[in-house]
Amino acid sequence: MQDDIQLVNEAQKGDKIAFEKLVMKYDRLVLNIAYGYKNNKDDADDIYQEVFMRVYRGLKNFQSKSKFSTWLYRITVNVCIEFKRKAKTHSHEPLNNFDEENENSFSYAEVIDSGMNTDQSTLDGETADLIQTELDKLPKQLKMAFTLKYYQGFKIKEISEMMNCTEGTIKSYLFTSSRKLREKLKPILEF
Amino acid sequence: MKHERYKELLELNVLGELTEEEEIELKNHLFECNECSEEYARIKKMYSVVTANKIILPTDNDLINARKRLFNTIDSETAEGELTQKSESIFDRIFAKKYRIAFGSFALILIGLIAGYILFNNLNPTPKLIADNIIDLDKIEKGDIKISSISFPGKFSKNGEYGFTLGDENPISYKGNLNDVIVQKLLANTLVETSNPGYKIRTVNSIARQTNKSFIPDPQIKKALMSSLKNDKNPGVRKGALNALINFPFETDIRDALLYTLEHDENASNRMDAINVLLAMNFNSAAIDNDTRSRIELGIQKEDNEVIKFKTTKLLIGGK
Repeated sequence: MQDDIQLVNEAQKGDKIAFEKLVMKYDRLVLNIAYGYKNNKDDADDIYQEVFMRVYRGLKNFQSKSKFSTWLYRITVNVCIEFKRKAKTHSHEPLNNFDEENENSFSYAEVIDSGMNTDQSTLDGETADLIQTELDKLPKQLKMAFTLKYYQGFKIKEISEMMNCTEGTIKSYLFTSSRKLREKLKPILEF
Repeated sequence: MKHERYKELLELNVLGELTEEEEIELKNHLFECNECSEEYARIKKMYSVVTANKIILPTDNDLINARKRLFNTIDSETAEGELTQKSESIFDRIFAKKYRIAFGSFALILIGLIAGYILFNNLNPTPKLIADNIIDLDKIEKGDIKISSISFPGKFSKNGEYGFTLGDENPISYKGNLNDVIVQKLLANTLVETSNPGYKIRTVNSIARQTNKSFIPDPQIKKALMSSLKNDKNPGVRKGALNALINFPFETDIRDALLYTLEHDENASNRMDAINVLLAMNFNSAAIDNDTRSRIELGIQKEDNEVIKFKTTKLLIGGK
């Protein structure tokens, strides 16, 4: 099994297969981060493309001072935060829309059918929308730290490396965003 | 001041960021501080609501399409760059000489070939489909094969086919329906290994949808569903596991699992489902051992829901 350093070296020499291996090793996580942050399929796909094009173009200058994965995640975080939706033909369907034509898509309704509506941690469209709306109101850095922790499960140390700041800063981002969200979700949490 | 510190520890504990010593210190504090205990409950609840509400992940198709688009863009960019460089020098030389038409035609053919290569060359890194006999059942049984992603059959799927991508590097894919023992084992692994409630809910719900009494479950999937029914923190997962298990051929272990749900599940809807199924099974309540019977009787006294209380009493006296 080739490690990242070897793959990076080969990709820097123009080995396309090595570059593809690097992409395939990390791209699911990159797409997950983008989905978690934007909650929009088209935007997430655009972020994915931008991230890996930056990696492709910047790889020749990458000097392995940090791990490839750290460099890649930093690019991902930056692209997510900088991302502005293109005014083009995107449909901007929210991810919780159910497309019956697509076997792989599923709706919150399906989850509600499963009986979760009987519990306080109800999965319903309204709650999901409310959470997303409140997350969108947070400053971008806070939202990024929050989604990386809550949705992707990264450790605070990892997030601090990805966002290029101290662990203390990330903790402060998390405390602030969690406090704000708890205030807004009070009616649901006290149900 | 100290109290504020504990409030931070509460949050970090929910996020799984405390050291063992800090956890012990916090637990001791929680024993003696009601304010922090209440705050802790609120934080935990927010965590479970937020994480349960963010369950949609990109599908395999999303990822494959994104890869296709990326590699096509890179190929176009590379080809464009190379073509621009080469064409300048080659055309300068060629068109300066007398064989313009011949070289012009050759150049056009070359461009056509390159365009064809870009358009039709399958650079899609779709995971390689593997034959059954390459899959090592022992490895699946032990959970040694990492499942990178799953595509579930839709509600209206005719063949009920699941798709699995296995491994991160050089991923391979496997497809099959629920009658396939490998699929069952992979789904069992998903239930055991993943911490993502979305995947778990989709897994148990899809199993519930695709099974009936003639279904022959692999012991591993049955065990995983039993474990989810009894231990999963998410009530939706427990409910899905219950719905799946009651489709399986009836055996006493399933009955016992339902009794366990009736006795222990904090979710009233799940307890209601369990008691309804138990009543519908019409089994001989005398077969319940004395210990279980005593516990259920104790449970009836504690039960808040009058309907469940009534039905459980009916269950206990039903066979006598």
